[in-house]
Amino acid sequence: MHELSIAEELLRIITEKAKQVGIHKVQQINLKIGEFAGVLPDALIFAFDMLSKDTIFEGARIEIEESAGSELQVLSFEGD
Amino acid sequence: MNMKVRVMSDILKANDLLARDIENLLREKSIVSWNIMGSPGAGKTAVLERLIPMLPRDVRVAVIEGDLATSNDAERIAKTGVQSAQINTNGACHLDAAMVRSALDSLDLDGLSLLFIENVGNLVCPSSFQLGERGRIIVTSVTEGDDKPEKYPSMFKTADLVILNKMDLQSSTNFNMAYFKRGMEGTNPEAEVIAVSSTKGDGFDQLLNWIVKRLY
Repeated sequence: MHELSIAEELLRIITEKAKQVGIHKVQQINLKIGEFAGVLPDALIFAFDMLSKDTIFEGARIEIEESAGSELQVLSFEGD
Repeated sequence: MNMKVRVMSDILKANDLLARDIENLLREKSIVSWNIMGSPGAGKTAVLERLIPMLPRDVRVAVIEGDLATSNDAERIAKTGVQSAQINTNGACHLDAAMVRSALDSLDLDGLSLLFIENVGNLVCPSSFQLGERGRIIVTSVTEGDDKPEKYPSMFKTADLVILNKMDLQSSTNFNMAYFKRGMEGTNPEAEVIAVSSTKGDGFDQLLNWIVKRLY
């Protein structure tokens, strides 16, 4: 539910962190999404792809680790 | 040079942080709060209308009402003589912590023992948003069918209490209590279930007892 706002929040969290560590291009984002988080991974990836056009995230891969709970977490991201 | 950066944070973070502030505020003031969720028309407001006048005189209650539009529910609650604040989400399908925090500012919290937050009628979205509540109560009803606990697991999993309303109408439906209970067992065996009729009053002594046992 609300994958677009979640994608926006995701971008915000990583942009802040990327700035802190001096990363200028994000290549991969690792998420953990619980079965009961109410989030459709495909919809989230679609929203993310849309929002990331012309940003440091364009073309980044989203890796999703699924779990049995209701987590919705950014585990890590990779870039240079 | 390729770098991997650990983040390890929850994505709905901003809401969770604000919810924690609300939780702390309410705890400091010894106010127990319940997030009341359920389908539109399940009887969330009707349950509160009947329950509130039954509470002991020394238990001060307030209600925060959440709806897309109208102040119908806040007005109904106001008729029971307790403080009520209406949030109009203007389209949002759930309450979030920011809305609740702002509603709290319009209430007099001194001496309050109990706060009910009646969420927007919806069995999906509200479950993802912490409001700083002590726990969650879901109101479902026999006219919605007996399979809701298994069809809406993310909602029913979070309940401390499930109120099964409109028991007076059971004979007009195909609602199967055993099936419902099995669904609850499968989705959330820890949750208590109290069967009530908000129009006739059945089950309200049990509900009253449940609420009162959980005050500070």
